[in-house]
Amino acid sequence: MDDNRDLTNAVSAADPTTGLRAVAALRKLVEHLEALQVRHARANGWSWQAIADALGVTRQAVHQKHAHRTSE
Amino acid sequence: MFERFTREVRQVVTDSVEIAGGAGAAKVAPEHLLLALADGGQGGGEQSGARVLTGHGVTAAALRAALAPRVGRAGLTDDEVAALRVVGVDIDEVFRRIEEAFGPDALSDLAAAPPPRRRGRLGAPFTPEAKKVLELSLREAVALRQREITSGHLLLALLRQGLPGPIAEVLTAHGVTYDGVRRQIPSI
Repeated sequence: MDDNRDLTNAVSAADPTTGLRAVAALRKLVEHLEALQVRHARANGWSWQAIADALGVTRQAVHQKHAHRTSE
Repeated sequence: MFERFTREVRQVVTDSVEIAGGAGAAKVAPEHLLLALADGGQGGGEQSGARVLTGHGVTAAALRAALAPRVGRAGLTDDEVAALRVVGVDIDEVFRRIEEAFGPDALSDLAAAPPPRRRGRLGAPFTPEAKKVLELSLREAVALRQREITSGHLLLALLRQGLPGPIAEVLTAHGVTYDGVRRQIPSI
């Protein structure tokens, strides 16, 4: 871990390689979080419409993306 | 070139697209071809690359395990986690809170991973290295004076092209080398 932190300090946020990689990582993180939160909401009885409203997308979009891995 | 691939090799190429998608990779890399090949079973007869691997005691599971450590929590690689720290995301705190809220498996649970991207076979993108491997497999077949490109030729091409460190180590540890496999695949 300490090695990682040293590495972290050695590179700059202005480096495109690092910056772009961070963007890609954030996308992955968003997908992961979305899946977790949607599943959690469904388990708590949220409707697809309520989830879609909270995410700011259409009900169809959220259902199509997540229905296959949440119990209906 | 593609019309010279055996049915087995075509299946390997198709499967590699699926495997890359499942791993969250944007493009098919040589290691995905190798995994698909190792999964391929016994369909290709004596020259089957899968059989050569099995014969050396290399299993698809071992190859998968060799690749797996590169992907950590939430599917992020070590490089990606480091990059997030650089741009100021306190990723360790994010991970901590997710695990606190959803349990220790929340970041490793495959069910939470983004769904594999579906791509048409024709549109399947390959990394330049993977394309090179497919080209090299043709060259191996030509060098061995064989008409069809078999999974054995594909395996030779993968070994010649080179594979990521952890996978290369598994192959080397089991004695799978280019020269060795080349001797195993007889010319007609």
